[in-house]
Amino acid sequence: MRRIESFHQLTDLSAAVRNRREGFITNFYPDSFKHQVWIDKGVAFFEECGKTVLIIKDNGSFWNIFYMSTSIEELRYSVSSFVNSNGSIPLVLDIVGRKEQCVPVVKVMEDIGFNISSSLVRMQRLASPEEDYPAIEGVPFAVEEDLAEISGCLHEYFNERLEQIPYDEELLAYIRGKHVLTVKDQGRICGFLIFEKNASTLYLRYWFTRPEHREYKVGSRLLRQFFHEGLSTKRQILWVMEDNNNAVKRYIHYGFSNENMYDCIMTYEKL
Amino acid sequence: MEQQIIRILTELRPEFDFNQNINFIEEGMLDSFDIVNLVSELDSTFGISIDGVDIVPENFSSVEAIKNLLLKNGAK
Repeated sequence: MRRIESFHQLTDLSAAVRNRREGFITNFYPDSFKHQVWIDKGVAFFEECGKTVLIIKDNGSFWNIFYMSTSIEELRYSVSSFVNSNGSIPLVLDIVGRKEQCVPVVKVMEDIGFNISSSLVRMQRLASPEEDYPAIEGVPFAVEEDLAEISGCLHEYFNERLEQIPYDEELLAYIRGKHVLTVKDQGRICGFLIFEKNASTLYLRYWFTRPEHREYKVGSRLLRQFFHEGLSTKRQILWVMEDNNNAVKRYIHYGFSNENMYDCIMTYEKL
Repeated sequence: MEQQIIRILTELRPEFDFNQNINFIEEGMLDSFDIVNLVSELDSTFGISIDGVDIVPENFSSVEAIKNLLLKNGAK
């Protein structure tokens, strides 16, 4: 495994696989900011195996594996080889795409010894020109002093293998960009919602209410303010666990619908 | 070719109007996830394999930019 030194190197690795002109399958979607953080922290590595490049993110107790390959059979060969050499460390791999794209890759990973840990579905909501979500009082943007508390909640209450917890550098960028909503009680954060926004799309990334505040409409206020922030956008997007029926029903209630886009999270762990 | 490009874009993101003369990337109509899927669709529709070094956001910023990308990569 070799350390990745620059974002440019990442795009070159992807180009090298594509330029074989033998097909291209991937679960790696380059993000210049996020992946530069990984590179700066020295946690991004790669390994070339046959006609596949594997990108490895070292999280300490487990590795996330991303792939760029020419075909499913090449992917099978390279991931099998990688697991044989590195299988003592738990490996987590996301398979992303429409159901019909995911199924054959999931089968290959199951053959190698991966198990499905969770399956997420992407839901979207198209904004209607008539809709009106007034600003909600008492839902301010997070400030930089909130960073440690928000980061602490993410690490305490979210599953780091399934949720890809952002680094503090990423959180700080969200806070500075006014993309973190909070509800506080006497200065302590009761809940927060982290989102991304561009000219036409609003992405809900993390939505959290402390357990002791879950009966006080904290989550609902955050979500309504989220919709207010997205009034100028055309669609809102989120990922939700496919089998979390309560959450799915709640999102449907708010106008979201299933997009037929899945993220199947698979884990390899030697017993 | 322009109509085929617009059809593929619309199938990918039906909620947007790709006939508009705006920057698809700056407007957030296509993200990196969409671009990866779009490249696959363009490859199979036009029978080409887009060069890896050409897969940068600016080459997907408009129908004209995508058309130039396809022509550069041998589409007819």
